[in-house]
Amino acid sequence: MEETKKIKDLLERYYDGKTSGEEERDLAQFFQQPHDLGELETHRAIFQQSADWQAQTASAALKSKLFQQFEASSKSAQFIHLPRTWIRAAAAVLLCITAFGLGRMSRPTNTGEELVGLQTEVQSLRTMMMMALIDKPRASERIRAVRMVEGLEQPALEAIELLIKAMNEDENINVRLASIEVLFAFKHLPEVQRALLLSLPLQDSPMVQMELLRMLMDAGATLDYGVLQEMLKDEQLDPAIRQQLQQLLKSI
Amino acid sequence: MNTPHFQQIVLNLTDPLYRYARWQLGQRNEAEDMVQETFLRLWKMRAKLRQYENVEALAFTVLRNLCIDKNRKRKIKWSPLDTAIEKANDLPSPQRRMELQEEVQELEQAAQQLPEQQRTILFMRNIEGYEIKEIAQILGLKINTVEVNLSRARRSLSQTLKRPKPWKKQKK
Repeated sequence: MEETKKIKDLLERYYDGKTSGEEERDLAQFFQQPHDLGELETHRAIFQQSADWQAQTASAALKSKLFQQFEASSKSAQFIHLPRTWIRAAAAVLLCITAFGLGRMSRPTNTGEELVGLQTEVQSLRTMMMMALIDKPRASERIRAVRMVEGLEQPALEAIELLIKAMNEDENINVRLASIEVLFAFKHLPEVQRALLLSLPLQDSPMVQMELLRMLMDAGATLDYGVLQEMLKDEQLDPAIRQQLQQLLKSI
Repeated sequence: MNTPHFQQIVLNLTDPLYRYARWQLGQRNEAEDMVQETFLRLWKMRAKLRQYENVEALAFTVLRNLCIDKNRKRKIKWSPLDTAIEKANDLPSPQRRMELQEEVQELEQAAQQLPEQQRTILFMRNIEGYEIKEIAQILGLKINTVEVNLSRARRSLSQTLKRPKPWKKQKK
């Protein structure tokens, strides 16, 4: 009863255009419930309509067309920089199409080849899904994106770069932590070790910094004296992190 | 603005702009053409883009004007979305699922009847989740104007749901 009253009040403010973003997310969540909502059931369609629209995306064909268009324009304008993000998207699509094509057309002659073909298909698909999800607004979707790379033996370089970007730049701490965890599986790669180290001063959360330090120590990474010293200069540095860093510096 | 920066903008804005164009024009193909046209226009003015505080707002403005021009010549030709309702097997009953689908379609039709400004505000708030302040900034309106228009649009849609439905059994 109390919840119904709360929702009714929220709805009244919603129809007045006075609800905050958070309140509207609460309402949307309430109307996602599968059971009959009684007298409130009549409002379900309003939120269903928004949900339907939020799920709409432009076609892959448009994205690919835009990519080609700007790549061509970029070349004609003699730009030096490579269009990394668009190469990323197009590469994923191409990779996927190629993998599917090869998988279907090559008809492998033995189980080994078949298995390799299947693994390639799976890797391409997961990389592509990661690329599609990594910029989504919901943190849970971005965590899903990050987890797509988990378990891959040889993820594409682009996937590693995206993981590093998520670790350094994602606003959500859980996405950053998930990225660190997944990256740790590739600790044998020098660029990953370097990225974990360089990420330390970029993090504002002691929890993430602590996790990074733990990973670096477990990975036996070559620690950079300069980076750690620089961090110690920060007066706002969490005392626990400071202590950990000082211990690390002594061990270098 | 350099090319990677521009491409990052394109990557981030393609889906929201597409949704807006589809919301305004009703058809997938037309919406995609308008999005492409918007990016082309932004690309042509990329040297000046740094002067704009909010490129996203600029992109929406360019697209909005293109859609207004397009709609001036004809009525919105709306084609249904691929919705998730059919897949939502956990709704109270199959009958309710059907009703819900009908209700959403009614809302779509009602949304098409709204004045353009209300439609845009409704889209930005309900679908893209912009804050009222951001909408006011993008559209160059006062916060109060945005709130009033949003309220009118939402209430218009809710009135649609209150009308008697021919497919519903009337209670005696």
